[in-house]
Amino acid sequence: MRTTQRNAVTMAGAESGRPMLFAHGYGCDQNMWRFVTPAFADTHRIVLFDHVGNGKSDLSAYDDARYSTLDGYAEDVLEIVRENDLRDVIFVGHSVSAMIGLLAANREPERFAGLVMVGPSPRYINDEADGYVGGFRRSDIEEMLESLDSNYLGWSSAMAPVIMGNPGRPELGDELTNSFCRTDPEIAKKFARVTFLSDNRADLPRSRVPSLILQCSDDVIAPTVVGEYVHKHTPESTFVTMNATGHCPNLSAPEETVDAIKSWL
Amino acid sequence: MSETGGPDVTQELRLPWDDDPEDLYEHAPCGYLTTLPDGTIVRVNETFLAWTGYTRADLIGHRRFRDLLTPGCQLYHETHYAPLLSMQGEVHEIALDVVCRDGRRVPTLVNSVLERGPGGAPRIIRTMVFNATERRGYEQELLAARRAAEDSERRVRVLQQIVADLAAAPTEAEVAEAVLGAPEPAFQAASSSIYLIDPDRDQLIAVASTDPMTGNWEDMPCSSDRAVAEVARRGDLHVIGSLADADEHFPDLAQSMRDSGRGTVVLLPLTTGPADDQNGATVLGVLAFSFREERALSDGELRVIRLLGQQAGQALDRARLYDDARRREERSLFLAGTTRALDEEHRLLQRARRLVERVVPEIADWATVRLQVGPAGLVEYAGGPAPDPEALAVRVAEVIESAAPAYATDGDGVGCTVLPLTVRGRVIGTLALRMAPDRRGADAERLFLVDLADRAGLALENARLYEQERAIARTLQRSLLAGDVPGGDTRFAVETYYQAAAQDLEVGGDWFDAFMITPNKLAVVVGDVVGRGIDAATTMGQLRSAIRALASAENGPARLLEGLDRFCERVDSARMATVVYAEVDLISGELSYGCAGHLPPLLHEPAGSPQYLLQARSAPLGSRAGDRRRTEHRVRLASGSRLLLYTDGLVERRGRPIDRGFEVLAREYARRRDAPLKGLTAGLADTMVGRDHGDDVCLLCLTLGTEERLERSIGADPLQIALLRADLRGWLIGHAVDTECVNAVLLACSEAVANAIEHGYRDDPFGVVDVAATVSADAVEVRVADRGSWRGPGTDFVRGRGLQLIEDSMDEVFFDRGEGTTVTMRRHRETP
Repeated sequence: MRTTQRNAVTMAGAESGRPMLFAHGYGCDQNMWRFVTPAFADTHRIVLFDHVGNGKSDLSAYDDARYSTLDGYAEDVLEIVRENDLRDVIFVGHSVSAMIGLLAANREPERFAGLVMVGPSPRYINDEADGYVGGFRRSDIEEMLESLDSNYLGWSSAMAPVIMGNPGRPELGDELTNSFCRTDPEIAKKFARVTFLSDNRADLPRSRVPSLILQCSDDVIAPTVVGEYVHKHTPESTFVTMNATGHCPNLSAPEETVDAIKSWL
Repeated sequence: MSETGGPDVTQELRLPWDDDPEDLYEHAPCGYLTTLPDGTIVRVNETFLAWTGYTRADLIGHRRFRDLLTPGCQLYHETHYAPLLSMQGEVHEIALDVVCRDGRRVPTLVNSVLERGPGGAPRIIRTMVFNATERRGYEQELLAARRAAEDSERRVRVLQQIVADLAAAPTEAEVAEAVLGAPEPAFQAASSSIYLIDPDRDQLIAVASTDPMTGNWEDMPCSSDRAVAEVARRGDLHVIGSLADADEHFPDLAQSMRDSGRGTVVLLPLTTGPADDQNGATVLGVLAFSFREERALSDGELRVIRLLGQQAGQALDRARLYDDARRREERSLFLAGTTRALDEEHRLLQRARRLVERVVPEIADWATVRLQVGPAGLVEYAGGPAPDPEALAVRVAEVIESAAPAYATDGDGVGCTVLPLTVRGRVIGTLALRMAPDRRGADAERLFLVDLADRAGLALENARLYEQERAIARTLQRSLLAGDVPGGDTRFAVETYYQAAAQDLEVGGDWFDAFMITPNKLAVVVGDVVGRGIDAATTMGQLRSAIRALASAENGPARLLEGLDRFCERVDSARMATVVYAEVDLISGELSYGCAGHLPPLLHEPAGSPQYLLQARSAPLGSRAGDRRRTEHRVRLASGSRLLLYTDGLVERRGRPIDRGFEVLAREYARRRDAPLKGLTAGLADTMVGRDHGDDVCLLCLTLGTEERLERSIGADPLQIALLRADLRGWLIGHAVDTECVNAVLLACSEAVANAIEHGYRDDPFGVVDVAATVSADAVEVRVADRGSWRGPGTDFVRGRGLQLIEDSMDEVFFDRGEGTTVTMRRHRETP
């Protein structure tokens, strides 16, 4: 199937179980769910994938026009769901993927049974016009894009084939550091731009699917005030504040994350 | 060495690298931090504090490591550093900017290791921070250089794309389109416009613009003092970097820059010719593009811009040549096609019509051809609307007078070009055209029109000559064929038919003739001269006369044909003509015939079926090959025999073997056995060749003895009698039988048939009554026969009421009672 390769879709868990579709956020890939998915493997069908441009996805499928908005990523999610004929899906999205899942579920709500939004933010940049606090100024985002340049000096052409899933030089695999979550710097910059400059506040009230908002303590990327905003504007949403700190509870506090999802389910 | 005052050797003896671990930690040449898994700083070394200006009290237990980063780096920390560390347990060489206590930023490289407790749960993170100020400065330079290189590469890519687009653009319009689209992706220009020079009109034409509303995008004379025209004249790239710049040099440009909010304008001449010699380069147009801001262009960008101007100029030059070549090809194709199309029509009117239909709409939206032929002249037109007729008439008269074309010019009131149609120095008419105004190539267009008029004139003159010759030939042919065919002799009758080919081709050389050689000897002829047109018609007339001259009571067909062979030696055009010649002795009924290369006559005697007469065959007249011995054959004809002579047009049909044609002819001829002679040949021609025939057809049918028969078989139904009566009446009248006789015969026949149905077929509704009637010069005879049994009351036919009527009407009545009853009745005709 088209999406299997394009999005490096992997399946695990109980064949007949209710599907859980896990979506990674900006800066990483499906590996970030490695501590969470085992807890659901006995009861659910685990579906993992990489957004195009990340992880083991097909970099050549990256299309500037399609992925210039989050809608393109949401369309990918729907294509994965359709091609694998997934129904009654629990979508678990981290960070920007929480919004991508929301957009997908808004478009075809009949496919989805629930949304788990881990560290969601409908808009990262403060909006002085209506007093919205997103946590960042526009200049912060520009600076972040600059810092990407500094760190991508480490993206060398020798590593690219390995990262792109070319097994021609397996000896490189052991030497790699930071081997997770690598991506083409140009695509990463574009994804960062789409992620941090989008504004999906208007999409929240359109949600027709029950959702769980997992809010970390002390998350600079999605501060509590943002999580509360999401909760307030999303119908049928449950808001849970976790003890976990930072932006990636799925990595820093997988047990708490699993427990929160299980009790909501 | 003394005990006191000596040096402390223990100090000396300590190895220089045997550092105090505490000191090593505190003063290591890198920052060192230990944090909890959530990033809270629990230990930090002096080196880090010295770099950043913080105190331990500021940091320990109060701040997380990420809190010390710039907001952008915090984002990176959270999205990359923290997840990687969780997954891999370590990260290396992450570039992060640390914000010092006084707000300074220290660029650093960071390595971290996550240490897990006995249960695998994260316990602490150890982080080393390297000061990378100089390295990062260097990297920034590298990045800047890379960005510049990428920008340059992007421009080159855009340029390459444009060069590829230009190469693929065959027309000027497409080249302009490709050039117009270049500045935006290559230089982030806000808008661009393109002007092309029209050398014929000495104008700069505003061809296309991405933003036509920018103000001064319009055509202008090349001599204009506006900036675009000035740059076109100078042929150099002009960058007007600011409004002040424009105010100083190009006031018109300054105005439009103010109107459209532009900060910088680039005016790039599109040139072709030697690039190194600006004087030698030809300017074909100007590309203007502009920026909202004041934009400084780098040397690299200026080089690319100049290159764009040269590439575009060359592409334009090529496109113009290509346009010219294509137009030339189109014109020559059009001329060739027109010549062919005109050749397909032979008649003058049709050819003139074809001409204007070719011209409209392909090269004109209105066209009229006028020819000075006949009393009224000929006018054909197509398209519309027509121009003012009076102004046009004046122009047409001028052109006829001067024999020179008058071309349409702007505002001349007529708006159409009038071309003289000249043949051999004589103006035979005019062709007037109204065309869409063409921007360029006016000279080539005029040459084309003159060429068109020359060809049209010749074609129309040829049609006129053809028309003239054809009229003469037809007249000649008609006059020859219309000669008197002998008639009024009851011993024979001749029916002829001549049908010209359906297509308007020239007249053919087919002919027929019939004449009396002696009072009792009739000659009939059908022949075919090779060729068409006026020459064939003339030859046919000569041959016809020759045959009449050669025919004599003594000669006979063979000698006559020999005489014609000799005739051919003097009249070469008669050579290879085919002739069938037959003489009939009207007393003995003997037929004598000879066939010189001609199709065999078809004979139908009263009994039997039609037979082709295949004897006495020899080669065509004057032939130097084949059987040249002329022979003749004699056959005695029964009274009532019909002999058909014909030309090949009757039996030949494309795609059908000629044998099949002979079969069809014999069948059709037999089918008409009882049809009156009058109209027989026309009907036969109609059936055999139809209306759409490509050849002339000539037939002659000779009937020996004028007696004729009508035969009908009708069902035993009284209603049929009325039909029979109508049939019989027409047939009798057709044979010029007088009215009294007709009425008498019809009455007697009706009664006889009624009797046959009433008595003969009393019990047999499916019985058939046969009626046969013959007409001869002196009598009409009708025979009515049935095969009934005549039973029951009143069966004696002789005593029936009808008998009396029959006997009163007819002069002679006979009965024959055999297998049925046959009554034969005869009435004499009144001799005129």
